[in-house]
Amino acid sequence: MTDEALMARYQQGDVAAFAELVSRHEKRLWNFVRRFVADGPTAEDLLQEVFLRVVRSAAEWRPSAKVSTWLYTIARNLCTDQARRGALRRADSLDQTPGASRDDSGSHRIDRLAAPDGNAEKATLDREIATRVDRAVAELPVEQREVFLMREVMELSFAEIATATGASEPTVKSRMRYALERLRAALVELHDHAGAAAAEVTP
Amino acid sequence: MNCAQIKEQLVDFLYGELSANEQAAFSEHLRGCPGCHAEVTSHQNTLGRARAALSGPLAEEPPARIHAAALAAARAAAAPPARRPAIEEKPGFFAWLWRTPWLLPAFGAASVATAVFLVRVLKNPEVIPGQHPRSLDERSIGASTATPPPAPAQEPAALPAAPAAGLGPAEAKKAKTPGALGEVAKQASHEARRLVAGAAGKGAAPTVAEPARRKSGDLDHLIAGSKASGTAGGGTPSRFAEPPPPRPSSRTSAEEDDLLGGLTGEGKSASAAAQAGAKPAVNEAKLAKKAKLARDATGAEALADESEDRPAGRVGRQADQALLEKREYAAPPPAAAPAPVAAEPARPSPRAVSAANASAALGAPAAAPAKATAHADKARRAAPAAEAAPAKVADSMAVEPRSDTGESSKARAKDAAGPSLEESIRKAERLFANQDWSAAAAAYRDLLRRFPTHKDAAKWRARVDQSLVAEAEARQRKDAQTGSKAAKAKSNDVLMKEMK
Repeated sequence: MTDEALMARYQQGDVAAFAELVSRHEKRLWNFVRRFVADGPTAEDLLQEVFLRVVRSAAEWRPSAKVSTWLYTIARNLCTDQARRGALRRADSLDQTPGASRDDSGSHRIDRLAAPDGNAEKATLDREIATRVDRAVAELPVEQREVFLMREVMELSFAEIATATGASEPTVKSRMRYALERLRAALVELHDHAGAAAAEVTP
Repeated sequence: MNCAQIKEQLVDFLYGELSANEQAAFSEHLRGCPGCHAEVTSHQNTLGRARAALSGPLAEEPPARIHAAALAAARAAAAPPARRPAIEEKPGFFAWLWRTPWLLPAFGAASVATAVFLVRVLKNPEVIPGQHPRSLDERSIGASTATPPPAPAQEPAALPAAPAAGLGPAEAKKAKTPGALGEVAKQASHEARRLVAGAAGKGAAPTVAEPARRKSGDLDHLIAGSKASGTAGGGTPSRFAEPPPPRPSSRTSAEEDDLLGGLTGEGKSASAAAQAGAKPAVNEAKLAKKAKLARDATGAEALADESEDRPAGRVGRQADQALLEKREYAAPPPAAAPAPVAAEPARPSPRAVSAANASAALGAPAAAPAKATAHADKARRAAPAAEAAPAKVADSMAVEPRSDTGESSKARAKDAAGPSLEESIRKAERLFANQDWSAAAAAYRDLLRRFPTHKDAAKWRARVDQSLVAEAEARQRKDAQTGSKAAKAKSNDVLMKEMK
């Protein structure tokens, strides 16, 4: 059954259909929100708010609208609002090391999550890459971050992202390019480190 | 393509959104430009690593509590949507009632009051203004089986034919005076034959049959009544038009006779005459007599021509209705007419009967009620004679309606495009808009009864319910002001009853 059919059923009061919709999309929504705001408790509140808004505005949804785009637009709007509020707060304390607390929590989380496999070096590298990606994404400007996450986490097309963000498609692609540049810069260093480590090991 | 363009198209390249030509040009440049090649390659690596991280270590399961919270919110919110359509959907009301525990005692009291009220309704249908005790039945039946309420019309009408089929024209002859009537009957049978040819059963002539339909609801009751008395032993639901078994009991005959001929002096005499002979034949005799009247009064052939494009079964149905309607509402036909005994073995096929019936409907406008009756009756007279002939008219009278029920009802719905329907709809909508709830409910109910298969039937049904609910609510509001508990219970009764 399509998302749209499920949504239509929920409009008729079928809560099970809504449960199915949640199951289908919550993981991507969560990872989008989680990467977007980079703060666990805030992300949880935001994801919950996404679903509450869907419930509240379910009656207004029309079958012509793609459910996934609708869901992710709600999530994106909540996240950008939250990010702007966060940006204001951060501007008040510019002297703080940006991302310091995130760095700690992020590293620990990734330490926990990394699968312990036989190749300890690879696991370490994966962890390091994840940490850097996580941090690099978190430090992207909001416009670039949302485009990057909508494309890479929510798997929306550039056209859909343009619709959701209200920007033109070339603008969206341009933001994507800047986001990729920053990511590459964040990982190049790692690349070099990894290369240096490898160079040290090899001789 | 230069290096700046490569930067421009980097994202398109990485996400495979370049056209084939662009892709070729892009690759071409990369082959000749190590700088761009290295940059694009490093972007590809970055993207690959980021994806691996996002779908690997960084991918997280959402907290379970959010899933639970979302579902709880959805469940809570699903209540209002269920409540809103309560007007149209029964469960909503009860679900709402169940979620409103403080109302349960009141509901219990209302249920008791409902029982009392129902008893009153059964005893005295007038308790509900504008609602005939059968109309609810009909509404639900129309909805569930698509069998139009007028369906029963066929069976009682067929009753005289079926028994008479066995007895034949001779019996009818015996029952009646001979003489010039033979000539009349011959003409009638000729008429019927022409009608066979005429009513090839093609299209529809809605406006003509409209008068027949107008009173169909009332006819239902009339027919139902006649059935109840005339075929009490049958036990078969008339609605589905089981072929009526020959039932030449004097009681049936007399009852039918009362129905058919009660309004005319000759009817009585014909009935009396028939008592002496084969009982069912009496009707035939009487009908034949009326046929004469009909032919005298109208150009049956012209009428038949008009009815040409009507499917036979449909026409017959409407003619039957017209017949009964006229019997009910029209003045008695002139008593002077001779009573032609229908003995002439015409060869009326089902179509002939139908065509004759159609002419009855055509001739039915209020000005010439007797005419209509007579025409239909003529057809009926022809019916028994058919037993001798190849075409089994008796069968057609009894069976055709059944097989034709769906079509007829459809036809009626289609024919409903007549002015009367539109006028009725306008009236109902006006009443509904004016929040004249009880009148609106009655108007829509009437529409439903008359055009049960109309495309808007569902809407009408909803309107009936909405009107009833609105009325009940209005009454409740009023009662809340006056504090009249009894009145409240009554409005609840009506509401609950209609919800069923």
